[in-house]
Amino acid sequence: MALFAVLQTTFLLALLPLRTYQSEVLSEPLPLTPESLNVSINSTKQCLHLQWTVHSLDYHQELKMVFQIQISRFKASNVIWMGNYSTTVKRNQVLHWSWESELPLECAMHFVRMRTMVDDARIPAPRFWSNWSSWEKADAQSSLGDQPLYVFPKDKLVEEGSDVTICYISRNHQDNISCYLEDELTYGKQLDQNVWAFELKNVSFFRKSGTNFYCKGRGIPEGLVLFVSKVLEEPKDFSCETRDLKTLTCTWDPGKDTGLIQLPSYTLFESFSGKKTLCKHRNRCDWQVTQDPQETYNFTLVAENYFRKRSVNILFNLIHGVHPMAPYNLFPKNVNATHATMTWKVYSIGNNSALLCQLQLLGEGKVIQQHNVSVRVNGEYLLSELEPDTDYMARVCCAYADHFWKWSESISQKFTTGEAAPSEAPDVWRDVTFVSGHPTVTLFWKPLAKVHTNGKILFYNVVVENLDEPSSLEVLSVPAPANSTKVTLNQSSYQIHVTAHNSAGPSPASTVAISGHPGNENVEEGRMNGTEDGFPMSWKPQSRNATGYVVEWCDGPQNLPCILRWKNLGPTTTGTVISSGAFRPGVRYNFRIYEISTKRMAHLLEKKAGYLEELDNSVCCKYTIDNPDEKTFVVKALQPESVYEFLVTPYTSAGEGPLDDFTKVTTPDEYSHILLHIILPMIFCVLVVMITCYLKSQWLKDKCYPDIPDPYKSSVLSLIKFKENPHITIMNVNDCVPDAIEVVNKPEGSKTQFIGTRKSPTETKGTKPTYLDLLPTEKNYSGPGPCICFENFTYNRAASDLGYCGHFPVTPQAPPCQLGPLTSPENLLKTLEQNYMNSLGEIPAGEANLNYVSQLASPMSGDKESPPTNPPEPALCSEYKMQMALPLGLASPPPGEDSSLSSTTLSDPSQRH
Amino acid sequence: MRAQRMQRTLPSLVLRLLFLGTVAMGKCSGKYHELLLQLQRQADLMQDPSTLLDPYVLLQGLHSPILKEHCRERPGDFPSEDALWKLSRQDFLRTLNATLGLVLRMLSALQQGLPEAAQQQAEMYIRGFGNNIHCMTQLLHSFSDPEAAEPTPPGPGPTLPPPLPTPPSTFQRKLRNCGFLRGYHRFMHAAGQVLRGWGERRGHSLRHRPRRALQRGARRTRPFLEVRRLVPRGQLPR
Repeated sequence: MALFAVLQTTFLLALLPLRTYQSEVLSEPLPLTPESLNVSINSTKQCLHLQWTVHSLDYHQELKMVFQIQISRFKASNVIWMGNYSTTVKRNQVLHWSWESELPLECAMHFVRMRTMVDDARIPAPRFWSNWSSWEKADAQSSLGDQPLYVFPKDKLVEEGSDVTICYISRNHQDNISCYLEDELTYGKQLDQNVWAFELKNVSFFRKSGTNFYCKGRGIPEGLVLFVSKVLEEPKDFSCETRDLKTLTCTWDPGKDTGLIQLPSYTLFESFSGKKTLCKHRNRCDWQVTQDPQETYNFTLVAENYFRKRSVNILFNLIHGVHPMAPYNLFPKNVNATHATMTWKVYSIGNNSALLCQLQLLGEGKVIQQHNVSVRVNGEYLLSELEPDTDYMARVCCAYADHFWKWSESISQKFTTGEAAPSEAPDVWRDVTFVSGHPTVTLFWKPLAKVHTNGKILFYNVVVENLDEPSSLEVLSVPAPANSTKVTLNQSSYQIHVTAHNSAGPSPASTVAISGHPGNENVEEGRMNGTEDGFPMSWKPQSRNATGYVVEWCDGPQNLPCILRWKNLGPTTTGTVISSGAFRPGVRYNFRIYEISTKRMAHLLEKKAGYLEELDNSVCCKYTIDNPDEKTFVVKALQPESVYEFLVTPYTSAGEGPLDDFTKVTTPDEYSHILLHIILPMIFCVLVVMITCYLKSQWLKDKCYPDIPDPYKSSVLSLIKFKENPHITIMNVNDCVPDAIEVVNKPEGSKTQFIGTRKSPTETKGTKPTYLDLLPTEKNYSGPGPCICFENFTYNRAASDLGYCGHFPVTPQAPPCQLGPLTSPENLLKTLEQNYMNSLGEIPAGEANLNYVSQLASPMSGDKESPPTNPPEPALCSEYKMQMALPLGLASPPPGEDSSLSSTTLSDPSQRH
Repeated sequence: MRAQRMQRTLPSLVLRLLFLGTVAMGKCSGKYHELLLQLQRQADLMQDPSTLLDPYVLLQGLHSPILKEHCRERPGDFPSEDALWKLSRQDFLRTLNATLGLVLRMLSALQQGLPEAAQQQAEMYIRGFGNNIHCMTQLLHSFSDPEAAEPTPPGPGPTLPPPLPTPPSTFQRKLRNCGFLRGYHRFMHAAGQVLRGWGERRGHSLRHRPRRALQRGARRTRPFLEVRRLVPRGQLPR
């Protein structure tokens, strides 16, 4: 037993140095447990951040180790993730590691633990995992407040197409909470009693201001904004250039916008110089060329945003990328009709390097000339072979002469060449008519073509040269754009020269010779047929010395004024086709062919007539009359107001006879006879209606408002006339002998006005003569102022009935014929009331009509000269008064009284009313 | 959208001209009723939600019925109409000025959240309105006695939004801003009503005087509108 104990001790002592040696040289294969594990939460990044140490290591030891980490959610046993983390560890080193959670960390409690194992090649296998550390809890919910509802994450920046998990925590699980992505209801899954999660797959961009996700319980909705970035694209078309060899400009196409307010950054690196610059624009960057110019550049453009980094590269040679600035100050100089000098300037490049400039001349939008010019500072080029009076445009662009890469932008300048004299003589023709044996020549000319005018034609000069009197020259100036003029000549021979003038001078002259005598007009007219192309015609030359031929015709039909047309033909020509857009089928056209002599004299050669197309019988109105005895023929269905031509020619079995001249007929207006049938009865009807109306109005006038008798034409006057004064025209009452009273019975119970009596109208009703008391007598005259009142009861019957006439018993207090009662307020009010009541409809319609007053004998309206003693009152006495002259003595008021207006009125015939 | 912008652009141009006229001349119009009418019209224009609130809602995606329902003015953001009616004219103008100053600051903060055109237009409106407030204050000043002109403490002015316990999320800020803009339009409507009251209550101007001013009794200036009626512009009864 003792021996066994000794042997054991000896063995252990023998092993001890070996153990010590092992621990000094190699790692100890013993498990090393992680210590001081600490878990923190980064909510923004949704990360669990772990840190720990490994204390058991020796001071100088450095081991490669593997850490196995477990993460649980809600409870420790619910492990959701497990993974390894390998690193080299020193003694007491604080190790860090992060884990990003797809679920916002606020929505669940997390637990973390780890264990470790030495994974170093120096430590021989076998290797052992250490024990697990204790669970460490990460609880973000504890820091939340007492809001009933929380939605996490708060805000989120994601790239389009990625997945996002959102969760909410409801404090009250009884709340019915709905969540929406924008307006769309979204369904999630319950993670815990109060926690729900929503997985948004493949999120897409909605708007720059973000996509709204919100949940709504009982209170205010809670939510978050997802900022979705579009995928950052790689810059395209990356290139650099320089315009002045001092600054480089690199450009690129950044692609579509990421859709975020935060733009991606763009940085330009140059690898040879090692420099970099942050670009200020998203599609352009400037790079300064140093004093010691670097010829080759290796640029790398890096585009970067939160999610991605993209880069493109370019190798650039400075000399090969010169893009000069556009030239400037391009002007034309010394411009005349055919030449112009263009000058321009360029921006210098480097040490006055030469530029190659291209000068283009454009006319009517097309390049006519193109010239290359080498320029250092000032460019100049003489353009020649230009057309007079023509608009041109000069365009210049330049490129770097040493190495062409790109033309600069171009500049352009318009200019117009000067005018030159017209280059061709106008095409002139004439029409000669003889009036009283004297030729009247109408000269026609065609406007020159644009290529020949060389400017604006201002006028035409017509020089009439009398060949018989060489000294006689007549010059006419016809302002443009006239194309004809008329000249009257005598019976001499003439040459007429026509020239067109612009500001630069005259054209060559065109000459026409005129003989003073009519030529041979007796040329037989031939017939011809038109074709689709026009009228083909030919002729036989008469003279071998002809300098040319002219065919003339009128464009319009014969009945219209001739629009003279002509065609010049060469001396060797013996035929032509005359075409004109004005030619119409069924119209006869006459052509005259002239031969032009060497003296420019025109001789009629041939006459020709024909139709472009002869229309058939139904349209052209060609009728066949079979009966040779028939002498009349009626053509029907003609158009009104149209001109027709007809001719009658006999025919036999051999054919038609010669065609004579046509006779013109104009058909009358179609509607004139119809109108005649309508207008005459209408006039008759109107006359009948007018006569009827007139008779009716006369009848009405007689019945309703007969003529007012004129006292000056009274039959009484005729009695007076032969008594004393044959010239008297106004009856003097004194002249009257009251020897007769005419009483007119009035069938109705109308009232009689009693003048000079004190009886009231009611007392006399129905008992007295009803019309008038002609003159006062001593018996019944009881007052100083009787007046005569003729009443026409047709008028103002109501007023008469009411006794507003104002004829009252004359008393000393009441001057004669004064309408005192009317002027009193009571009467006035009463009358007004009556009128008012009437206006309300109490008066029957028939009676109301009777209130019409034809003539108001207002006492106030009579005398304009005498001052009114009473203020004007409404003329309520709407009676008709037959005006008679009154004896002055009777009519005059007593001294001191107001004068009677009616009496004075009548004394002046000129103021009758 | 484009048509709406056009519709808003025309009146805005007119208003700009009005404002520019005042500013360019460098002096205020002395015509009370003209100034009042301008203020009323400006208030009418500024109370229109289509100038600010609607573009904001559209741009921020707050147009769903649920969010619209919760786009509410928070109590205390802006003075109520009742409170405005209780203010003296000077205090009313002062309150108006201060409130619009706050709105202007809010608009600057909202720079990215609003369509640029709407924001610029709203700022222009507010600045123009501010000019006219200034002119109206001067005018009222000139018609009041010196005592009346003494500074009075501002009325129930605007309040800055109270800080949230935790930094608000973007979503919360959206709703908050929405409510603020709604309150702004409501406030401008109320201000327009008060200004209209100034025009309608000629001869009853005491009704719109602060209680404090009434208690001070007869030594205070006579009611502005009475002065207006009796005295030519620019003159005070001695």
